[in-house]
Amino acid sequence: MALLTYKEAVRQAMQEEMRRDENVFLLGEDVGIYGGAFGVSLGMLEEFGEERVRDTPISEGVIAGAAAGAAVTGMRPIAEIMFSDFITIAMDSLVNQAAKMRYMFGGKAKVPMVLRMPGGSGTGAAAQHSQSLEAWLVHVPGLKVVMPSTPYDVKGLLKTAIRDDNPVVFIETKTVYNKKGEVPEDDYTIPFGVADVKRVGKDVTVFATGVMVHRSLEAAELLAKEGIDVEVIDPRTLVPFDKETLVKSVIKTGKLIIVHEACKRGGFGGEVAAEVMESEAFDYLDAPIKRIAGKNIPIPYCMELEKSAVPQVDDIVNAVREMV
Amino acid sequence: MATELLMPKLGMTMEEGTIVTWFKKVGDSIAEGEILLEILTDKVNMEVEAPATGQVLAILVAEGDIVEVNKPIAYIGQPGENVESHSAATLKIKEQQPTQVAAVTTVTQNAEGIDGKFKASPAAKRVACEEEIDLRVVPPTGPGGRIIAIDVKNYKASPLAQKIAQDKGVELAEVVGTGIGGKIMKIDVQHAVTQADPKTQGTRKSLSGMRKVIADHMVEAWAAPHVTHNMEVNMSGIVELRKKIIPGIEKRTGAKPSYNDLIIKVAAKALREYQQVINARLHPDGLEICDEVNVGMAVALPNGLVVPVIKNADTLSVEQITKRAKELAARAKEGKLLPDEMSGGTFTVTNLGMYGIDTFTPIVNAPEVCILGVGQLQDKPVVKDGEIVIEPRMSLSLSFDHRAVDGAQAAEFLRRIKELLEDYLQLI
Repeated sequence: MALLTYKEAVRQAMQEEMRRDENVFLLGEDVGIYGGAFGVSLGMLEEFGEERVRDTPISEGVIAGAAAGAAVTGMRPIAEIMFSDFITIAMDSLVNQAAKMRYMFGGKAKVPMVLRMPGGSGTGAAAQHSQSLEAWLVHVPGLKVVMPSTPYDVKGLLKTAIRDDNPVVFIETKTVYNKKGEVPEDDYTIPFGVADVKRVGKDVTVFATGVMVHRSLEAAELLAKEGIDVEVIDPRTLVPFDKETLVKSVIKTGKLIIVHEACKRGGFGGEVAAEVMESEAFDYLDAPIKRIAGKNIPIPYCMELEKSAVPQVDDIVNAVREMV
Repeated sequence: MATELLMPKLGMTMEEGTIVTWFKKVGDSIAEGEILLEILTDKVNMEVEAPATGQVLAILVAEGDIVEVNKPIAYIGQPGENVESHSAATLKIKEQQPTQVAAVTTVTQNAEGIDGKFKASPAAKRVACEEEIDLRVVPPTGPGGRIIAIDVKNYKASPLAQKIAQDKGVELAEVVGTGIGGKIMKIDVQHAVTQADPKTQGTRKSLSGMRKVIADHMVEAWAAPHVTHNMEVNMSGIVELRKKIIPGIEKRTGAKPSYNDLIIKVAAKALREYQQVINARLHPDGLEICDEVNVGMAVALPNGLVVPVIKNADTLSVEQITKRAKELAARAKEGKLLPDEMSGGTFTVTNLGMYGIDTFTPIVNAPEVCILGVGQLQDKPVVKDGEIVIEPRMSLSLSFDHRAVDGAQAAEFLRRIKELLEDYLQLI
């Protein structure tokens, strides 16, 4: 197994899939000559040429529309949105076209496109380049929403996304792009809808997405020194959602803390909490479910304020202490 | 501060309790978990453990007095602590908070919520439901006064039981409680400790079928106050008589009359004579004097015991009794007795003589009021007219329900049986 960074794992997944299937191609702003805003696609233009690694105009509407059109006509596009914040401009093509076509054509149309985008704060990129908008996307029937947190997961899940015949929104976590992890060199995929228990524990379940998986694991190690045994669950895909693993864990621990970077109001955490309340885990809850999430404000430009706007390790540690 | 002990509320319907016994008096020292008093509710007697270690500072209610639930009944604390003012203050607080309820043997603030509702987590509610515990009496330890699952699980056991369980490493969830509402008491944990020792573990099977019926019947019968009279009988005459009648009866019926058959014959005659006292059945609503003399005979089976009944035994000859007894015994051993053949008894004869038993204390076969135990027949030296002579002797053990039969009446009846056995011509 090789030790790869998260973004190297993303690149490797795209390269392997493009070598495997000539219909797979990459498009987006500065993905070619520049190698992508975060350097994810460095070297890919050299290997695959301009036909398959296409720089586009600065228009997310065009990127999403072109990807949807190409997908319907038999290609398997990987479209990159430079910052997930810009998905707003791509929404019509994504929500009203890509997400609806298979349904409206009675299953006769396939839309095998992947919309990759880095999300989240932590880089001092201010309010228009730091948002976590996954809740907008999980609300749309017809879209699959993936949110990997580790190099291993991102490679396996991106391959699954590329091979899926439906539009997949693939949210990469920009603050973990340079985090390293072990990634197998052989071809592997990770199925959608299977959560990963990142740490086994018995006292409290912490359900976290994206960078919050890492912060929760860090918090868990600190809490372990106090004798508190935390279980950390990473759903990996929000749609489809692995309810079973979560419910099983909550039945075991009786306590649930949901951690995400996105604003608390209308966030995915509310959906998770509701799923647990409606499940057989309800009768095993021994404390109210708690959400640790971003404040309901735009992300500040000032780095210190930015930090205080989203959950940090200490916030998770304190929340667990209060609950146990 | 002194710990207050309230009259515990042991069930949702309990409103008051009676103090039966104080095991300690004021000034005595007591340890947490030690039994302090016994109370009587409308259903049961219950021992109450001390909620704290210290000295019994005050006992507020005398033995025999009735107290409302949740009213203070005693204080435990350090010697010299002032209880009077504390007591008055507490009483005042109690009056202001009529909804507050107390826990058994512990006095703790309970979970209070809005509108008399209380705060309990879903898990606590589930455990309470499964364990049939009234959540209102469970002291909360969760944030904001919430009852959480562990509170309910702990509530299942008395403080002393919890301590022993912790010391001995016993998982309380696996202990079956025998206290009120299935509460785990000290003895239950000790029992669990014993059972956990593999050396003392055997194969266990639940009681079923005949065993269960016997077990239930024995518990019921044992409730009667029992007395047993023993008397030794000279059996020379009966031994002689039996020898004489064997050939004829055996020829006609194919069966030899046993000593037991002869004793049934004798008992039946005595029963007819003492019908008004002995030939009776005691029911909850009164004593039934039975017209028929129906004598049951205990028959041991490999897996239990049955008592087939020889109906109207006083009207039957020895030969008829012999025939009937053999039939019933054979059917009993084949498990083919009809319900009718096992009911209607007014008296029972049980014989352990063949096992070498001399005397024993049979349990009355309720609702009958007397049972005759027959011991072994044995040659013994007896002093007669200043001389030692050898005689065949046999012991009879008559157990009776003292509610229905007096000691003298039972003695008279047993003496009559002895007379008839020693002078069998009276049978004619």
